Amino acid sequence: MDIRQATIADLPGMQNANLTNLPENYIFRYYLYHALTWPQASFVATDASGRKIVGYVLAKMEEEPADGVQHGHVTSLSVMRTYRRMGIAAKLMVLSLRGLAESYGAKYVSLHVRKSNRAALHLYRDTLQFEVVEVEKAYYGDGEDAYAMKKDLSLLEDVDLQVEEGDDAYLIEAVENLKLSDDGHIIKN
Amino acid sequence: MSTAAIPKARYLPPKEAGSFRQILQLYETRQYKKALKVADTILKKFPDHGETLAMKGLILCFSEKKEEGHELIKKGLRNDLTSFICWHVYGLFYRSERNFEEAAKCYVHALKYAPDNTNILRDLALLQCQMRNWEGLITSRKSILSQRPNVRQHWTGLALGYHMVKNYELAENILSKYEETLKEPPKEDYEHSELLLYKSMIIFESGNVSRALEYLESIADQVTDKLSLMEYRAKYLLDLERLPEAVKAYTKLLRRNPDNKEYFLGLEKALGIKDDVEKKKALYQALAKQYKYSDLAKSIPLSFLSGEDFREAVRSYIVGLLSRGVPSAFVNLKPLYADEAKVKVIEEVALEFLKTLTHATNGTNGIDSGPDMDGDSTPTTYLWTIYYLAQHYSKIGEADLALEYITKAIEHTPTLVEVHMVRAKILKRKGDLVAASESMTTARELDLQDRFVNTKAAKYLMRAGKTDEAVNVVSLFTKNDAHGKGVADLHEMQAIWFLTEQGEMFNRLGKIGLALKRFEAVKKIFDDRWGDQFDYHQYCVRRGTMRAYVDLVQWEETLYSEHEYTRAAFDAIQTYISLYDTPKSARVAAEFEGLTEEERKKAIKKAKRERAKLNKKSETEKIANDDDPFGKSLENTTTPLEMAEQFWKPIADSPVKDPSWTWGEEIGKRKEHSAARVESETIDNTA
Repeated sequence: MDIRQATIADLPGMQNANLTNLPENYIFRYYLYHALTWPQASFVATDASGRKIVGYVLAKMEEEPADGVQHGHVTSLSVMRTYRRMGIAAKLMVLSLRGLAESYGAKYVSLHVRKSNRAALHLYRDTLQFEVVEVEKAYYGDGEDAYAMKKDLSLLEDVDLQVEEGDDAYLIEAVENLKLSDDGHIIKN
Repeated sequence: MSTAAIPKARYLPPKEAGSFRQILQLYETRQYKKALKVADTILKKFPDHGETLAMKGLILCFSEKKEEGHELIKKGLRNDLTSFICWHVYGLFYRSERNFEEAAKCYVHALKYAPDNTNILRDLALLQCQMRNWEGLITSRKSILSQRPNVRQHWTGLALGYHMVKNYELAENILSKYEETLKEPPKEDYEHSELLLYKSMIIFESGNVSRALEYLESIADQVTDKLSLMEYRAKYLLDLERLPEAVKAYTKLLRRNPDNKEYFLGLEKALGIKDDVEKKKALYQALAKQYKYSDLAKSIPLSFLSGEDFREAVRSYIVGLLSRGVPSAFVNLKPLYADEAKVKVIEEVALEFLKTLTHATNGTNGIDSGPDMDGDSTPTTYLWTIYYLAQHYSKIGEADLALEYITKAIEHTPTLVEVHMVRAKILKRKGDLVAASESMTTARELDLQDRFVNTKAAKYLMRAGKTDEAVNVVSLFTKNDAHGKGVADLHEMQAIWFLTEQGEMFNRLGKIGLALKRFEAVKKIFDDRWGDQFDYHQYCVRRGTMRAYVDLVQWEETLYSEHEYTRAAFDAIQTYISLYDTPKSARVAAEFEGLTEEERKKAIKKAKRERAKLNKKSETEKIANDDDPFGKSLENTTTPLEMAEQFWKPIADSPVKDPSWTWGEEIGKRKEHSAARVESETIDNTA
């Protein structure tokens, strides 16, 4: 597994994953539009070979925010069924939220989730601390209601500040403290 | 331009000249109906006025009257061959047809008569990007910039030209000059930040890494994209062998994202232990402790460890996943299956673990018994372990053993989707496509809300040749037509997987026309992807997302060598070639070979009946508003080799090719043969 920012070459794989997993689909141009307008907002997870996209988050900035506040919006998120329960969706979301906040100054991020999709609701509400803003009646094409959710990004912790001088010491120590015997085995301290 | 310079045929009196300007305005604002009315008032008095004719033609083209419009454009141009407007209009027409080459020629003509016209220059620049004519782009961009030096995008556009011809020095200079025009650099401005990072990338590509780093550090506080800043910095430091700093940089990146392979590999290199297995082992032990939820910290060592170290590592990895009930344990380990010794160890480890979960006393492989409820294991761990072993045995070609394990798993938890999916896969690999599709259908019915298993079920049904059932299943998640079918929606949403699978199925069923239709639909998706970039030549220089744009340009170059294209293309080429090799008359003759006159008549009648039935029934294969829903025109083509060539050409033109792709030769051989035949026939006739 490898999780990284989405590149243009990833877009066909994202479109394929979306068509495989979800009923809300978009034509390729829409993926292009996302990636060429907000390149820092979308992320992908690949399989162990590094070639196949097994999960993605496609996100954007709200272009004309009704409340006048700059904020992000998650257009689509999904993970192939065969790769679930590895925490991929949450990891993708965390990276996307950070990208939206840092690159585009998003104050909060919004999304919609099907009322019946308990797994997604759990992810957003419990794991990622989104809150339900309202229920939008018949939001989806098939008539299902949606929870409109949002998460405040102003309190997003600065991971880089957490890294202090000498934080890599444990790695260097782990590598340097290795003593090898004459026949090449590690001598444990 | 002064009145004196206007040729007589172009001259309009002031009133009509005003009307003409009005047409241009109405065209810009897409008020086509009004524009046509105004054009007609001019043409009433001056029926041969070239520019008005051309504009009217262009507007007709955009109002769904393309043929009439095209004729008028040509007529207009003929009447006024030195008008830049007429040439520009002709260029716009070609552009709307996506004939970029002809469009560019027209713009070049237009510029002869209006060398400084920014609109035409800009339109030409876009075409030059589309055609990768970078030298031409530099020329156009230079003139645009000299006219409008106060707009950022014109600097960016010129820098792009130099960047694309690898003239890094000039590309950098242009961007630096732009920076100098700013009195005060904007803070926290995304577009500005992107431009600075673009420049850093250009300096890096020029090979002067230390200056790239120096520049990167000088712009750090103006850059909003912190991730790129950190990634570039780490890469540059590593390149410069400033290793202790590179270690810090990659450590910081891992804090952000401990699931990125590049960061781990960068750290290995920065620590100078890339080829030292013992030290790497120690490193990953420390990292796995630090990043408990990182899969890579645990899985990367599996690729470089061997012997007892590997056994220990893979045991703790597999046991960890199985105990947590992660269905993806097998797919995560799949790359290791290229190494036979490792496969053996994996098998031993998994079987040993299974033993700890079961009463090992009865049965072989411990699979005849249930989980040991007294141990610290849970029934689900037992389930995921036999589920893993089923996939393992299927992968190494032990289908029967695989089936044995998956049957146990199904008996254990018959309501789990995953076990039925794996059973289906085992059966598919064994070649039992019908049973495989039945198993996948069982899986699908256990979770009707999940499109993933729906997709799989539809695919398996198509592999089993169940045409209608597959369409019915796939249509449970699509926007459906009046007949409740989603085939049209899957075309619109560019579901390549579906089109290819269905095309291959039709091929197997001998429905050649439909098969070709689906392959042509896949080609169209790729042609659209090629066309889709057009809007971004302008958009990205304005938006400033140049790094993503350069990414786009490079990706588009290899578009047609992607597997998704070549698979459908080779299917199509093969089909067209067989149409050429066995022409229709021969195909029909072969069908009736060895039949008596009586049987022959019967067979023809039967075929007629079936055709009628097919035309009536097959709503599943039909798409609304399609005058050839069964692809008969494709099947009956008189130029199959040329049709095959259309699929082949973009692959042949791609810079990334597999030498095993020899369809070009296959087509070429037949074309030569066909040409020789035509020639000899001609000689026969004249002799």
